[in-house]
Amino acid sequence: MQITPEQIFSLIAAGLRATTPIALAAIGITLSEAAGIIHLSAEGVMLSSALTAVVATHYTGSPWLGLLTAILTGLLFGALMGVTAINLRANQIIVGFGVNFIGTGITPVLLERVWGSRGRSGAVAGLPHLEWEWLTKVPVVGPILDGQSVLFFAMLALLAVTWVVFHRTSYGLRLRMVGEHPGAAATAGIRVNRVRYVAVLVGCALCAIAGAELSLGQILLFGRNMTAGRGFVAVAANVVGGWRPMGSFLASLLFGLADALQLRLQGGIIPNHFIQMIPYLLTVLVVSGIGGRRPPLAIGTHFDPEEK
Amino acid sequence: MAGAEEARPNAGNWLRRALNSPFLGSLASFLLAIGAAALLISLAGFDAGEGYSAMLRGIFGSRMSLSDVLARSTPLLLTGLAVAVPLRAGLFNVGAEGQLLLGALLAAVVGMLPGIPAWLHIPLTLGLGSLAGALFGMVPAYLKARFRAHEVITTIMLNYIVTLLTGYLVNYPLHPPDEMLPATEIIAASAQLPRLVRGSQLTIGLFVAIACAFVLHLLLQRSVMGYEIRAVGLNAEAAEAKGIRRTRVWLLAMAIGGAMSGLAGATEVSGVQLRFLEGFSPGYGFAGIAVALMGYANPLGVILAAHVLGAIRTGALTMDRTTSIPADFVTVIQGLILVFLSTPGLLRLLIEKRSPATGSLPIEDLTS
Repeated sequence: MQITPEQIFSLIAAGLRATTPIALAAIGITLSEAAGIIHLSAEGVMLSSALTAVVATHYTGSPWLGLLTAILTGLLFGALMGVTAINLRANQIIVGFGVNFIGTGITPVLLERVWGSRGRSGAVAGLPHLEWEWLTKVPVVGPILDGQSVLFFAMLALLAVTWVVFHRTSYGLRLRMVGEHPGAAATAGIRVNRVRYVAVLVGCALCAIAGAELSLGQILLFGRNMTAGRGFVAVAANVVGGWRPMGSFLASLLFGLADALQLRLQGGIIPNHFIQMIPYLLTVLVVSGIGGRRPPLAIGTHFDPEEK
Repeated sequence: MAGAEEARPNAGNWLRRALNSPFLGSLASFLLAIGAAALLISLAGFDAGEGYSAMLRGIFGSRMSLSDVLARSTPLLLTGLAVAVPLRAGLFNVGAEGQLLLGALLAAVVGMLPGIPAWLHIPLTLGLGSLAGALFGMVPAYLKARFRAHEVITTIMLNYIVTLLTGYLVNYPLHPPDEMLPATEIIAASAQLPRLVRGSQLTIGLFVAIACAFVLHLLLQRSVMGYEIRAVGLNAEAAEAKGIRRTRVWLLAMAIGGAMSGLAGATEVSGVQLRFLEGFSPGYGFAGIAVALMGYANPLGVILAAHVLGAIRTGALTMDRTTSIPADFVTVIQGLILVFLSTPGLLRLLIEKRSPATGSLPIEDLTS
């Protein structure tokens, strides 16, 4: 079988498309977990945001308002996680599963309300895809980047911003300190729970953008359970990436490329079920200490400013 | 942490225990979730009253509905136990879904074997299904003991791995040539569980599940093994100092949990589905998390919680048929129950303590 460069470019382009939602959610999870809040609710947040994005676009005709609505949905879930996990000292694992149940359960209800269907929404206008004439003429990069969703480029920008904030600013230092040694952070004058709130809210907003990418960037409608476990693949990417923004991105890229490869190899020698297992198997290996980093020390704990 | 130190009389008075605060706490969470869900669905523009009355009709409406509720509660009871027992040892088993699928698959394979008399075939099917779940359940316990891998992460990932593995098996090697669906062959009649009510899916699986709950209750409360499980769950370091081997307890608790999930899968295959059909489980393993927490990780509490959730899931099907509200609404209720149960300010159930040596999140047990 002859493999042409075009086939490789289109495989990489498909891999990047698959990477975008996973990486956005994984970076969001990283922010939240680096601050010490366990974030297992990406699946539910992504799914409900994907739907509200489509609903808002359906009523307003503007995918940008759809994206905004998705982000607001994410912030709403972020607030729920913040109130329960930070103020009410809830068990964050249980809250995470609770949010996932709420997200998966509420979407068919809203679908029924708006479209009278439980399976899928009507088609809506999607976010623009960048089509630069000059870009398509650049060799290698052109065919790969041509036709990527605008949120793919937003993801790269958000990755850069997150990386700089995380590693190069005092805010990033505070964020990591709150996740590692909240007591010491408080002694140093950092308002631990405020930093955690911001991290959870931004984290959920990123998961929401990931959801909007699925429904407004790629498929242009909402399908029942369209996230199909991507929220947990993002959880996996965060673990494999060692709770660091760049690590999360690179792991997402690996999983995205594996996903694209899996679609190409369908019916081939290796059954695609086994290629789809890659993220999960890799995570089990990494969390068992084969490569990778340890989680933030204070993850899952609560901080009471009165106690110090 | 208040209340943890209080010595409670450990008498076997289950009624007094059931009426103790955990019961009221669970009830409060359930009612709050029902109320919050009504608010949500009203905001979405549906008639919550109409929905709930349809649900009640589905639960109490006909003579068949009771057996439907009991049939639906059976797998929930078992997956609830699958989460509850490891929880008592301080482990959060969110892998019940994967353990259930593996148990179901093995039950389907064993069930297909011809020429075995029913008195042997049924116990063999259920037993090997449980065994598959038990062995698979021990994997995350081993990874935690040996490599300090957090069981929540490993069990989530193992769920997906098993979903894909069983998906592969029923699409290719175990797929009969003349079958359209991704499923195995129908199991032999000798492996099918006797049905209790004509036309209903209620089988003797319910009795098996309830018996398991009572046995596990006695095991936890009356046996050395149970004492060790609870001791490790309360404080793994202190238990270790007293000579209890944590690794052994973790493996044991997860083996019990996995066996219960595997049995849930096996009873579904041999009693309801009669084969392994890809995607047959409507998230029974995940619902088990809600069941276990609602039952305060107490096997007898789990019996009650499983029937409450089984009832609303059954009622939801009637709601789905007779109103415009989809049955998925019940998943929202389930999620809200978890959110309300998760807050110790309300319930004091789950107060996290960090044990630095393991990085685990032992869950304090206030029920015993």
